[in-house]
Amino acid sequence: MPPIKGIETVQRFTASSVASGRVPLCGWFVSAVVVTVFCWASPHAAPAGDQFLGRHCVACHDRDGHEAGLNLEDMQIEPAKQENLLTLERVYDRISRGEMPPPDEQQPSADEKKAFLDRLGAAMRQTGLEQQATEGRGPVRRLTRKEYENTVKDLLQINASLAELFPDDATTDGFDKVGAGLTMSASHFEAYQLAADKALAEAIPEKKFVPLQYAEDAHALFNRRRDTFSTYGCWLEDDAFIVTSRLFYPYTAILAPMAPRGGRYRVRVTAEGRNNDGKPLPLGIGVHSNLTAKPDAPDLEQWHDFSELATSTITTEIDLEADQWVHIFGVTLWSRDWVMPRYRRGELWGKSALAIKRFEVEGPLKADGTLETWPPESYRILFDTLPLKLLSQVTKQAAAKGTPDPWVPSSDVPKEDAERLLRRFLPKAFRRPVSEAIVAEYVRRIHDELDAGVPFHHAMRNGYKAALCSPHFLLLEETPGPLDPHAIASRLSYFLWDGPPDESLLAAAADGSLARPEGRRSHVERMLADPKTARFERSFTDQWLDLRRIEATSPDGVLYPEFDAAMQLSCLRETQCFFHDMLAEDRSLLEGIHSDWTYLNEPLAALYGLPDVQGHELQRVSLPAGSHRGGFLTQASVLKVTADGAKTSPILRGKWVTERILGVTPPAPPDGVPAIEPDIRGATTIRVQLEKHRSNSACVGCHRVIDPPGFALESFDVIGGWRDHYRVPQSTGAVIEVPRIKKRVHRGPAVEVGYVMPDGRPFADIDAYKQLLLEDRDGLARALASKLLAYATGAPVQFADRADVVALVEEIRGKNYGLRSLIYAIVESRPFLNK
Amino acid sequence: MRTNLRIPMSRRLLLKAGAVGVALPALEAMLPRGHAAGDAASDAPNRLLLVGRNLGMHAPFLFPETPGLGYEATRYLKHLEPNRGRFTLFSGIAHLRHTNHHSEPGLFTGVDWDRIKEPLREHRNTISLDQHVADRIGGDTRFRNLVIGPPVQWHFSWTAKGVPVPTERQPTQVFKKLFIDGTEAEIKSEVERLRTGRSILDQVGEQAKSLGRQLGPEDRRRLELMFSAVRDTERNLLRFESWAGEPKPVTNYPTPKADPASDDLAGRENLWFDIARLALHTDSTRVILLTMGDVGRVKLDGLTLAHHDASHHGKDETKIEQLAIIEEAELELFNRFITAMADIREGDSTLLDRTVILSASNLGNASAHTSENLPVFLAGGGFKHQGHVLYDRENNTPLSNLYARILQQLGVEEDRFGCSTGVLQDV
Repeated sequence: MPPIKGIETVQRFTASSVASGRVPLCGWFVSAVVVTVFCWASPHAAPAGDQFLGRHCVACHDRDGHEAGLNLEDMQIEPAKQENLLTLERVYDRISRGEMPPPDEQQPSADEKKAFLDRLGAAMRQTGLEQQATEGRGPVRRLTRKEYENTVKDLLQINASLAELFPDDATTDGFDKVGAGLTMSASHFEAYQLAADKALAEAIPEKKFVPLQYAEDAHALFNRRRDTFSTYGCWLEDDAFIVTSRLFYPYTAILAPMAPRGGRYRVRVTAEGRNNDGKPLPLGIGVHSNLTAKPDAPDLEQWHDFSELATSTITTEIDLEADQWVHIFGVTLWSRDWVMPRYRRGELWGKSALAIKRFEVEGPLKADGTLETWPPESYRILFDTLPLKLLSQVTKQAAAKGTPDPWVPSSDVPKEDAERLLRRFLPKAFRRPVSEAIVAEYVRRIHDELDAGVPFHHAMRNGYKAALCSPHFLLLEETPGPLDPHAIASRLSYFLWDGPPDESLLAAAADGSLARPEGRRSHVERMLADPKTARFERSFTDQWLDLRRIEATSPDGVLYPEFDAAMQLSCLRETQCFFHDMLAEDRSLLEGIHSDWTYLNEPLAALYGLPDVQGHELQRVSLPAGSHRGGFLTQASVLKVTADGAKTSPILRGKWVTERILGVTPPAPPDGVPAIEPDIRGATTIRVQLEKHRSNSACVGCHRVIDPPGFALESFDVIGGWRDHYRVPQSTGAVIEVPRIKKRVHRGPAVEVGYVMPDGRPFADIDAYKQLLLEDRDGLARALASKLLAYATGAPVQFADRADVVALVEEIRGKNYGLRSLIYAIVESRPFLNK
Repeated sequence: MRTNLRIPMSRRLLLKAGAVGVALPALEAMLPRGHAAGDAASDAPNRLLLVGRNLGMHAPFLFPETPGLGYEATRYLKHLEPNRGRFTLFSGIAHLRHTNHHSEPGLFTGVDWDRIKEPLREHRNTISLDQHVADRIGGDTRFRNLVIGPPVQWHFSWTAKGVPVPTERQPTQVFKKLFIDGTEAEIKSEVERLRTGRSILDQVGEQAKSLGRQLGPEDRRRLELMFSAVRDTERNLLRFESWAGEPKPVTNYPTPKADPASDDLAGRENLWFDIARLALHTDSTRVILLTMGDVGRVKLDGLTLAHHDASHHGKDETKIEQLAIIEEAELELFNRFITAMADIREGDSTLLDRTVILSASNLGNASAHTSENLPVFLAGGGFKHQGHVLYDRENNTPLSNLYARILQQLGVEEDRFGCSTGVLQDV
């Protein structure tokens, strides 16, 4: 059948044409129905050059004209060729969205269009599945640097930061776990060796350590400061060490002794608040890395509220590396610049202060909460019960004067011990049974070294180092087709723990229970109850919601004087706690769009203009009607990461929402479209600017999709506060009162609210916008399911996976779209259980 | 270990002379081995510095209308006036068909656009100029090459297999590895570490090979990439091992205590430029790629916008003025760098003349997302600089032709690179 050529007009993708097509909000297709009818059966053979394409597309996209770089004249659909899948996906989506053929061209009938899309979809899925059967959905991938760190930590039971030794991992399709972006260069292999050295040095300590068991009362704390410090900013009062100023190093600094070894430490503080208008005062617990680095700014890890009414004691745990300190300080106390002049004038301090009565730190702790003793658990993992001896005893040579005499593992039967220990270690390290040939190679190398006179402890360390640099350790080994039980164990653990499978998972892989749905289910439930799930919550929200960029911008201090480190930590915690509860309580993922509850503390409640919440510890609260809050979009963390510190941009926010929440990646303008430079001259407001921008036909296609959420969020400023007016740096004669800190900033123009959806439905404000989003529940569910599936499998959702995503959504629709239910469903899905 | 060492002035000598801590104004750095007399005698350039940026430059403020050395100093070029004659600005040059955002990977590879236009996972990039040159002019230096610069999200440096080479992002760390010696014990254990390191890599390589045999064709290809990265690492470790016993060059440049704040543009770029200059001067390496680009939100007088926002100005004059604040600051820093390079004598020549410096961006006009009429500066390198070379701004000259020219200037006898269609003859 010859292609129909006739219409000469080469007009497409114009403002009017695109504006009139309905663009669905979420995901890639108009209706789920289209996808569910995909069949697995082999399609009928058809001659090259498709009839539908010939009738509707080839007039422009022909062999010679190549409109938009696309030749559909020679495009074969049945079967769809592998190398054409990406192109065909675009053809499928644009036709199904009604963007093509352009509205001013002759349109196919609804039946004709459906028949074609069914046929095309089925052919593409078949080709996609065939490709997946031979290659998998993505390449074999290496561990990300964070996964690497967690894997070594869990394997060796140590705490050392290793990720920072590696180059950043690329983010592909939204996640660093996506295999295609996880390349390996020489820098990586150099870093693997450094990291293995660092980890093994921590795991096989050469010096004996005594666990820290530190406890001091107020007198001891006060007297431990250097004599010359006098009483700057602090004094002793009966049984309390009174601290008036935050981070006044070294005068009011309260540090526990240095951690003798990396690990988890228990911290206990007894204190009370003073002069804080009856409200609780937060005590910050931070980690201090190096006394000379930034003594005034330990990393704030957590905080606890202390009442003015009674003395109370808090107990918590915190991870330290060797040679780090726990630092406690009053997060909201006055700065030394306030305290010192008054102190020098001899004034009595009547403002807020913390009265510290007792400070205790102990650790490192073992998994069961008891103190780690010499030799540590990590040594047992590597050397079992072999005795440690001083090097001088092993070599029978006294250590040279001034050189250390380290403790080293020793063996009376080195070759046998080497083999025994390696056989024990390798399957754990490689997360699966290890072939005899591989074990033999490791053993042979160690034996060779021993024969060459290398001391036992040295040869063993080299062997372990080689294992930690091995592809079997660094790669997640998966072969095309259904995953073997050990690969499933690793998929589960890197999904839900961001780390390696534990012994129980490996045992379940070995005894076959992971091959059965009920076996997987019981392990998933067990895993989600484990504290290591916090790693998943952290890693997924850091990437999906971009929370890892929370520190990327510092809000302008003139425009946003109320912003401080405490607020930054508060907003991060809000989102983390919110996601945690969604997962723990199987709450509907639609609450991510709108919820009637959230987590707040005093600074956040003030920022949101909500009724006072006392204290800095985050509390779950019900949101009053008209709060404009609830769901991720209106959380300060998200609003902050989508702004640049001084300004918000509807484009950046809109793109963020479109890609991350709605799951739509706006296509780049097609090749060959002459770029017309946007011209926003004369535009007085951002809205007029964007209108002018959109009048450019190359721009409108994307902007009609990404602008609406951007404008819906325009009522929120760069730190997540509600605004009716912009804040501006120069005087306008009008001011805005900043709540809580009693300051004023200049008031700029009013914010314009409301906009229209891509399909033309208007909305008045963010509340109305969220309700419009919630009309497409399945679409929202598909979007999040696709993100989780990409995260869980390390490969983005392909066309052939769309039917699986639809099935996931059907599975959870009757379960109120519960997030935990979605996790259960994903683990049983075809993409998860196959490479 | 090594025998034919030529250490012009070792640290030990300085210690003996009691000269430690004394500033040596005329001599910023002691030259280590490798700076053989033969090298120094020749005036031929043997070094390459690439500076990659990704947000273009405002063309009306940059490009003059008249070609040649007598070009009129445009608003931007005024900042480079002190170095007129030491550089050439090209207008009307580009990688043909490259366009839009995401063209960073192609800037220094000059690859055919079709190979990188799809998302990252579909990339099939080729080798970048710095990597290509490193093996050809690298010489016996402590480092084969450096890829350094502030944290950015894209890659300008790519291996022959199309694998991105990560950027080292902390100037303090780079300075340390270039100039700070370990203690004797540290050096000894470093040598031991490198030696076992090579034996481990050997094992890793074998495992990668045999693992590859069990996998599908696409994964086998990835394992081959892994294997080749292992080989590169082995080569690096060998090089480090041969250098581990050598004292590092001594410089009286103050050791940076902390990495400059991200909003301190001058502090940050000056430090990177200085590190690059010191590394080249001490012959620690001969090939450097400096990744700059989107500077984010920095503190400059009168500046209220972040770089990306200002660069997408939509012809709005206020925004263009904001962009100009950033771009003028960058050009001033670049000017300072060229001057500093020219101030260092090397034999009868200068460090500038013996270093080919190329600063370029993958976007021409970021506001329109176009990759035509790229801002391309060529400085130093012993070229016959032409001030302003003006090509057809409608039909651009392939930038790869300049890369081919650079290869020849560096004594690499090849006449093509990337998508070159010839060798540029105008400098």
